[in-house]
Amino acid sequence: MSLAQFSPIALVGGLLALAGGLYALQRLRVRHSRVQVVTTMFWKQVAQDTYARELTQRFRHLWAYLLLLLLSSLLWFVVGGLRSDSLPESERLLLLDRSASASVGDHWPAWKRLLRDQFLAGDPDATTVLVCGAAPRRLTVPGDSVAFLDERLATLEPEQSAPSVEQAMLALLRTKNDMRPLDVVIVGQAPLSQRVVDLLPEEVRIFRAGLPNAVTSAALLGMGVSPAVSGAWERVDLGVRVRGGEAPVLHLAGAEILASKQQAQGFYLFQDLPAGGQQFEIQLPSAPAPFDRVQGQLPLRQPLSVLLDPALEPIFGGVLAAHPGVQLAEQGGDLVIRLASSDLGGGLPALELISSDQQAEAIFLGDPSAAAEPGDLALRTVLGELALDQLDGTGLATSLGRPLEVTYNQASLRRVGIWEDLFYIEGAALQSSRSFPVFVGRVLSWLADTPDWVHTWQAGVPVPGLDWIADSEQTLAGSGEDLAPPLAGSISTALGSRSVGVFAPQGVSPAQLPAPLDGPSGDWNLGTWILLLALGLLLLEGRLVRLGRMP
Amino acid sequence: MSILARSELVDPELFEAARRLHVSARRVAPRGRFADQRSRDRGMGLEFEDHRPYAPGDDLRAVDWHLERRLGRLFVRLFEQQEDLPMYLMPDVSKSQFLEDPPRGRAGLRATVLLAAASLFQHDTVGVFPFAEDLITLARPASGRNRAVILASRLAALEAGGTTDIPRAVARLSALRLRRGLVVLVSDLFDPRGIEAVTESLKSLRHRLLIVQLTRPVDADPGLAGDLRLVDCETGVEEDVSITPAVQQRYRETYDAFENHIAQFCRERGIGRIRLDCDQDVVPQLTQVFESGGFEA
Repeated sequence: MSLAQFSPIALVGGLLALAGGLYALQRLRVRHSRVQVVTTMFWKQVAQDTYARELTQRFRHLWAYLLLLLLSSLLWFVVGGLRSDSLPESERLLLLDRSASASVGDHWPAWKRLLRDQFLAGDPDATTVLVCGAAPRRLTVPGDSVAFLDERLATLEPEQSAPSVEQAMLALLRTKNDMRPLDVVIVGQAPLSQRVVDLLPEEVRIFRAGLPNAVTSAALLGMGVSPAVSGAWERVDLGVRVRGGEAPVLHLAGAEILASKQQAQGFYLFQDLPAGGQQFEIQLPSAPAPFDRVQGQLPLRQPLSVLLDPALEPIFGGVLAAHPGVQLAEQGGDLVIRLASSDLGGGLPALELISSDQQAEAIFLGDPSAAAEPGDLALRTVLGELALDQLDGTGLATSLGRPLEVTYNQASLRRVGIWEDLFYIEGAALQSSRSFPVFVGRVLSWLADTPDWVHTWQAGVPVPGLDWIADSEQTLAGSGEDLAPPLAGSISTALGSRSVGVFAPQGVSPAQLPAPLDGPSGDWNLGTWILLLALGLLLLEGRLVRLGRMP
Repeated sequence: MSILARSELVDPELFEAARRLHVSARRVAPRGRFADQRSRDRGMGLEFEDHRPYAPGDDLRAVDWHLERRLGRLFVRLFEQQEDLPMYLMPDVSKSQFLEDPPRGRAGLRATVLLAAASLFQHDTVGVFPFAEDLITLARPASGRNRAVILASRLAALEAGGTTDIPRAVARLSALRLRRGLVVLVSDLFDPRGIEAVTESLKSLRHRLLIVQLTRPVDADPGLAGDLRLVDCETGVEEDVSITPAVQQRYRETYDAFENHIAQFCRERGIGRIRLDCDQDVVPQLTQVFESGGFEA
């Protein structure tokens, strides 16, 4: 047994106070029966002589005292929230989605009602309620009453944040250390990936209450920026995923731009946008707030400064001159293209032409971020990034009369070493390939190792480097390097104020969840039984008083 | 509404018992009516009392001629004068006398009738003055054997009520300036003013006094216990008491002090006192008192 409201000291103190108070009342309280007598003159004298010096009467009615003490003690236990320490056979975890989805239409009040219904449908002594806004937060613990839940819910409002249900589930995984069955009920639209569901142990069952009835309504679901398909270095394409048939509108530099075309169902593309770092806003007029607009910033693509070994001018000069994103530098620079024997641009990422005597592999790719022994998958990925898979390797090998090997390995700087022989094969030199400009462009981009573009800050989505660019007073979600702006709106950073958006969940959930089982458990908690016992004792006392067996 | 049924007081048994009783006075006041009581008056009685020297004007029939012959001087014989004994009966008819069942007033009034009848049967003068808050002159002092029935009827027709005020009743009786006689106070003496006030008032009485105290065993030991609100039937005064064995003991001590006070008062003042148990018939109780040597006021 334990108490939800009182400490053991408070419990014992209360019981002693009750016993003492009742004892005092018993000593002081007198319920007189009226009796008519011939005279009271003797009793008057007796009363004067006997009671004048006595403040209290003798202790009377031991059984009545014990009954009252039992009654009041039971009520005291109820007030103290007595509950059984024996663990319930199963637990329930209710997760209320408090993310931006909750603020759409009447979702929030409806979800709160659903949560309350679910709370009442189970055993309060085995139910925990978490509210999942920017971060999961405990709302009630086992044993809390529905009145307490109502009080807590009354002041809660949705947050313009991404749902943190998955975060709560992962935390649950870390803290659950018994084998008791656990029913998790998600109230709201927060998605739960199949990956997380698969991680959960068998004894955890997941349900969803309140199917997202607005799942078909229009909303912005996501956005992405990629290099322009047109190949223009200084331009990017902006892809927008929406729900609903309407096309989104881009507001950029005071102009409204319509999506060029619908690439696929719900996917629109804005092509060849200038990668000048401008702010933009995407609007979906038919969508409800907050999923009707999102702000972002286009990437800033500055030309790469490349040092070129004069000896290689004949090979690369033309390609580099034609590349809009490259500026040839006399000194300094971001990258260097040189002969391996040259010391030009020492300490810079380099594309080196090297003698086959000095390098066993035809192409060597050095990468500081590569694993010590990178696997085939990493190699293929890099080959794709460099467009090496587009080169006619077989033809080159045939012309060269030697097999071509590619090695991807760890290095202190990014470096691409390539046999110079490949550039001097008569009639099949590499630079004569049609894919050579693409190859050069990709290699330069790879060497530059430009970071991923963060065009839009999303609530709940980590932003690289946020730990140092965000104002120190901002409360960020997450930990380590995975810091994310918690809420939609704006956030102060060292680079200025940045907009933070939030996207609607894409569909119900990747993991299809069943509805929770209906119907209350019907179990009465200990407090109810104690109240019933107290009521019975009260009736007994009334009966005894009526029978005159009790004063 | 009358106190008792007429048959309770106009009872042949009472009158028959009264014939066997003799109420005598050690002495009666002079100048009374000729009756059965011995008097300090010398007169025409039958019992020789003394001689005294003849004085002019004495009845010559009283001269003892034998003594004159022997002594040569005239002496007259003195005889005891028999006179009546005025009896003033004061029955308590306050409310408390008629609370219980049987009411102690029944015993008190039957004793009153018995004493009145006994006195009347021996030619004494009897006056009846019931009292509660005040004194009532129910029957002025008079004699006559046949008055016994009349008095009993009047008493039966009396209406009870009010609080007991013995000092006031005694004062009112004194104010009547009746011939000195025997006052018979028939009461439980439960006066709200206290027994001291009662006895103090009785001290001022010029008459001989006989107290017929109406008692019950429950007076000494009421048998009450627990938390009670006792309501005085006369005054309506409420007294909250928690009756424990200690309180019961204290009550008994208080009642004993009450009794002792009365006993001491009677002893010191030479006052007759008869304690009647109201739960029993008064006739045998009074008969026993009078037969065990008679009663001499």
